[in-house]
Amino acid sequence: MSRPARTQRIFQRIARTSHWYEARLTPLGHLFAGLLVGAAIFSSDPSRSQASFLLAGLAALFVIALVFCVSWHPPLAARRTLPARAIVGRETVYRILLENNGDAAEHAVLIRDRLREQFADQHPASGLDPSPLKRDNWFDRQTGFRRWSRRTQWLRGALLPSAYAPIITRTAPHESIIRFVPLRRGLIEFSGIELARADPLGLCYGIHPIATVQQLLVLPRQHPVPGLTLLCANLARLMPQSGVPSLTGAQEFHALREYRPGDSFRQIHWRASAKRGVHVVRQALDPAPLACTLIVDSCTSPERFEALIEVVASLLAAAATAVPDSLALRWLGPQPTAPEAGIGAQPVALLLDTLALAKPTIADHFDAATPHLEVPQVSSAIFITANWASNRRVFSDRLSRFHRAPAHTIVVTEDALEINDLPARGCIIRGQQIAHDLAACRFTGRRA
Amino acid sequence: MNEAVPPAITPARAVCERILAALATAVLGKPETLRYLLAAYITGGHVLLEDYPGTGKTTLAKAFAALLGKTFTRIQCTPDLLPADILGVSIFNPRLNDFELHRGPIFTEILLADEINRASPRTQSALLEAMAERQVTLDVATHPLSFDFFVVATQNPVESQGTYPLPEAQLDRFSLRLSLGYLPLAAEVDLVMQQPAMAMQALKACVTPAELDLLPQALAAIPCARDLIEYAVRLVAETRLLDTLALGASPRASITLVQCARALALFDGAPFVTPEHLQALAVPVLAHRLILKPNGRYEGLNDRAIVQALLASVPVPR
Amino acid sequence: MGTAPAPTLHFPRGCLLVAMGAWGIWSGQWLSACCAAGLIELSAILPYRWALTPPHYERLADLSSVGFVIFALYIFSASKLLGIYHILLEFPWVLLPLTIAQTFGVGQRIPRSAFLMALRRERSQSLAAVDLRPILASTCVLSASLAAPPRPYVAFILAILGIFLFSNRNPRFSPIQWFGCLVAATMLAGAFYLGIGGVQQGISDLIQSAFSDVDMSVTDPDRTASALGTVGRLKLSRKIRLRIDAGLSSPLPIRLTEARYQLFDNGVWRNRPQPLQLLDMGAGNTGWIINASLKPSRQMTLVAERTRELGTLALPAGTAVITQADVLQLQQHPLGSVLAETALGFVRYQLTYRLGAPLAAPPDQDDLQIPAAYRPLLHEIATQAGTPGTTPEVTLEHVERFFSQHFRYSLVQPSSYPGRLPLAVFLRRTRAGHCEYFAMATALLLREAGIPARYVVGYLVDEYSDREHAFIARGRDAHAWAEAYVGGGWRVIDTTPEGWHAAEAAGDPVWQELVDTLNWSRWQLRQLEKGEFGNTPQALLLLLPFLVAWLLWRLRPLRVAPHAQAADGSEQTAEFLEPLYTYIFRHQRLRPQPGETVLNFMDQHWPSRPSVPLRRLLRLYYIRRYSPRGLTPLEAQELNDLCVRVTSTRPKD
Repeated sequence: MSRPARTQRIFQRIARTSHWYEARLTPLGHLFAGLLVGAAIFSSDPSRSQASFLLAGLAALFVIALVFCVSWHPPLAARRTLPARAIVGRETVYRILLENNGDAAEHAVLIRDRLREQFADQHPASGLDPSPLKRDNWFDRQTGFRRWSRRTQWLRGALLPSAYAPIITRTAPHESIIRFVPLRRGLIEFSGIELARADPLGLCYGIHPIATVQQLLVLPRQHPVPGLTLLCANLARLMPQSGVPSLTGAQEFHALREYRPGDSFRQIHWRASAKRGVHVVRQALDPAPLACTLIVDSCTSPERFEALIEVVASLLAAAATAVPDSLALRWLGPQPTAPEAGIGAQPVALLLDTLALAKPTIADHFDAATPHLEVPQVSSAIFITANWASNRRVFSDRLSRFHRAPAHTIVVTEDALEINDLPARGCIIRGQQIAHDLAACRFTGRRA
Repeated sequence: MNEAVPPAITPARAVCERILAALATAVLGKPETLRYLLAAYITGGHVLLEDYPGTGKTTLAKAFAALLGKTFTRIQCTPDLLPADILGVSIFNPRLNDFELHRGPIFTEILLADEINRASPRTQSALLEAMAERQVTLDVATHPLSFDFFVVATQNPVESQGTYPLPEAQLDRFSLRLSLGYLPLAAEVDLVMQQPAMAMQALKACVTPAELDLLPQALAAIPCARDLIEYAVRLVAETRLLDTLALGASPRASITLVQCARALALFDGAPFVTPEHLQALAVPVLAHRLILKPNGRYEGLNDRAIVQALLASVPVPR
Repeated sequence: MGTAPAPTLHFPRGCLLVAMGAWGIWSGQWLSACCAAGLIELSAILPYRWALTPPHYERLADLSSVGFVIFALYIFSASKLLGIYHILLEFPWVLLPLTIAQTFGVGQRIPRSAFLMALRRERSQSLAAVDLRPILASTCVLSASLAAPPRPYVAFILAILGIFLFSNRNPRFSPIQWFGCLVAATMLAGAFYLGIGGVQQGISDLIQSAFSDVDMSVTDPDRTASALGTVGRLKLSRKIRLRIDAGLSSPLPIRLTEARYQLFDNGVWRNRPQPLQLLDMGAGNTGWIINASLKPSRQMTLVAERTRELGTLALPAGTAVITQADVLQLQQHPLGSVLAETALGFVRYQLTYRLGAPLAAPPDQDDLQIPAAYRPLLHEIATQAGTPGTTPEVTLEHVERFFSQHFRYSLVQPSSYPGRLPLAVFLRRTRAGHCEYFAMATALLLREAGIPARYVVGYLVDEYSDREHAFIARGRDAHAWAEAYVGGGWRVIDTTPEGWHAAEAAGDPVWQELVDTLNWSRWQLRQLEKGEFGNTPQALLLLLPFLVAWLLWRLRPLRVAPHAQAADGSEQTAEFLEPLYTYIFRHQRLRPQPGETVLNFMDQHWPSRPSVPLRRLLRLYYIRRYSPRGLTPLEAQELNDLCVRVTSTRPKD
């Protein structure tokens, strides 16, 4: 939804002014500022009102307060220690360490952590409405300012509380713990830390900004998927066997089995055969399990894309706990070739990182991408889509019929009623109730 | 041309033209690829040919070796290829009562490693180490390789199961990554009519080793203006600053870029490096050295596109 | 350690009682106010609470708003626009119900949804809540300012602000430091107060001058408007209206007459409609003759700033001839005023006059006219003043003494007395007024005593300006006095107390100097335009910094950006390629991209002609540019020629 540039600028100015107001003035300062404005209005007619005294007094108080505020330059250094990752919807904790490099102790310092200033409409993906509430009140429909400010806050990623340091000395640095809940996945960019201290009168804050630019990668929300059982097979095969690629190059001796006609003579384990009396061949085990494949169709609208990412992240997280490093992601996107290849599985952590930053594709590459899809037949495959068009139906049907291991289809949608031809092993996840529907999904590892 | 040309250049240029002309008749393909191949050979680098099967990679390498009169060996990489199969092995000879070194196929002048991405990582690294150091350590002895050892590695760009893609850090050892591509219709008709098998038999060396010795000296004599070198370095430096890349190109890339540009200038008889040479070489030299961030691939970026975007944005000295 | 709730406003106990009590006392409803305040304070002691939910608060807020709207409508219908003061005075009552609900409610805070309808639909989000008590206290403070006398109000403010500040001060600083800040703030507040007064004065002057100059700067010979009966402080314009060059030996103050009036009619002096006599230049173009019988002895030059085309000229008594004037037409009124039709802006006129020679025209019946409504008043005052005296001289003396002894000059009329004549108020009750009061009262009193008197309007000039080297008359120097016919001649009777000039000048704001300078510079510019070089060099000097600044401002966009040489690094480009680039640009509107080499760009975009040896040119250029050996002289020549040739050929299209 586009907005004229003039309105955007007005909104930004309003946002910046209210931010300045919040940051610069203490609550008493807010009250006195209101009084100042009232006194200015009232004193416009001096013959009727004595408010000029009030105006003069308040102005003088603010001037004295500002003098103190502007002249505060403490020798404080701050350092932020962020965790490696955060997850949407889960409380994240990080620390800020304040060190005093001067001799005098600093008292009563307010610590505010600042995110990079971004506004809705500047970011192309901010057309997304983060909250499920519709615009159903007249004011919001007319101006849209509240919606804009909500979106701006969502874009910045978090609402950070402020911390308080009663005393910081050279020998006793202060460590604050800040807890917050990230609002969205992606990168949260911290721009700096603001230290604030009120003046003696208690009206304004003197602000000492410390620029520390850091980024925190927030992973998508993950819900538990109790029904997820994956079939990830280890290839047991004769050793050595040319023609069948060994994935790791390593072949471990695994088992002995009876000779079957057609096995190569070189595989016969003579000593064991002598003991047993029948011919026995060696079998090697490729220790890397063939991964279960998640095929994700990334072409969808931005709203459904978020739900899709949540579902995929939940599956990845669940799979990681069940069978670690056994998941491969096939991302059907703008590139005609599937991006993951080689040995098979990327660490789940890396996959979650890429999911955190993934963006939806607008153009539909499904038909171009699926022919190049290589899915190992011996492990489960899960096809996840948010766009249940006819080509997806065909693909899902083909997958469930011809894939040797069990194949599932998951459709993420708003309206469950529009889907009526889901294959037998499929489930529908509604965008509003992802947690509930994921818990209800049953993935059986066996063929029905 | 009536400008004064250093004496080394004209005969070198003649030699190069002869080689290229002969190569063009033997292998029907893009002429730039042939020039780049020769440029890489002259500058002492190695080439990675990435192309679909059947486009003539092996033919090219064979023809190249034949025309230069160099010994040629071909290794077909398979997953069960062992390092010993490439480097060589010591075998106990009971008659001599000692271990006898059987050299592997790497001890040659031009080596073609077909489908290098099918070899296991252990084997790949053995080959790549030898390429880098130009010597092979077997048992305790070190054996140097041929002084103009040249490797042409090929791989199939369509990645599939059962392949081991070359680690990105090792890709840096290849000077250029080239591709032949499919021929236009008329050329393909000619190709079929030509009966290539017969043509390959008829190839003979068109240059002598002495003539080949002229080339490095000629290369050194070609000047490159300082701002062009700065331009080349800036191109490479920009790759390190892009935030869509996890790792950019190394200084080795800058050196290769300028050296190969000199080689191209030599072929043109310019005889100085021009910005067009640098721009033409940017993609073959830089594209395979860039490591994309994982999310970059999901967004549809590829390394060639990044290099081309870079070419368009870095200002050229005019 | 380290997370603490955000600092909030601490509202001290008893603060609300003080605020509401003071407001109640001054607005005349102290009992109810104190009861309400007491109730709120009691809530801290009483354990009773109501379980109020946000819908309750919302309904209460709606009720308060509706009540407020009804009250406002009632007040407006009763007392029109002035009712706003009444509404503002009573505003705290609107907030009281909600405050009581807050203090007796369980949450101790009012949710924001009570005030904003937009927030009422969203119940799920936790909304910030508002503490209404400080807002109520602030409203009481502001409303009290409407009704409080100055000194107690100052004490009240000090008390309230002091309480707030003390309870919310930063604990890191000691109370001594805090007190020191407070003292500094009080002193600064004093300075600000004076400044605010000046600002208000200046703003009102501005407004005044915008309106009053249009109406009152040009006097109408037929009637006056007067400021009689205006309540409050009379605001006089400080704008310079006249510049008088009268020679340094003329006595001060200079009295200039604009118009004379005979009939008094409900606070307005006017004249009987009489025909005006058109003046024309005398024979020999010596000037307009005002009074032929006078022998002029002095000369005066005046420059007036006119805002209307038709109006009287200010002339000294005893004007004989107007020798020079930028006027289109002059007409003379039988009573002596001269009506001029001029262009707008600065008008200059020169005249000759004789000092101390009043008009000699005899009085008529109108000079003794007294309106019936004023007779009893004047009779009473005449008794007080002891008029009529034995002789007219004695009467004059008595009148002057009466006014000087019992009356004082004041620009402020404290309050209105509806239904009473302003002059009666002046004469009986206040005994203080500005010059118009004095002049009118004098004229009427003299008429009551049987002496023909007229009301005269003009200027009394006292101020000399060094910058202008002339006397200046401002709007506030406009003066009114009476003229009495005694002993065969008209005599000026000015009973306005001395020192009124000083009193009015005392109210000048600080920047009056600046305003005067601007006015002067305007006058100098005008003179420059007309070709009269008065104090022109100084005028030019004043203008010079503005001109220089303006010049620099205009030159800024022309600043030459350094040629984009980052990649080229060489000036050779400009020499050879610039004409080619320009050529391509003119035909294709394209410039090369940063990553485009010369060869690629030219190849692609050069409008092709087979005869144009572009290739050769580029080849030579490349040798020149990239090869360290450079070009031979022959080749350089060839390059030059080719360049010229290429740019001179035009493509067909």
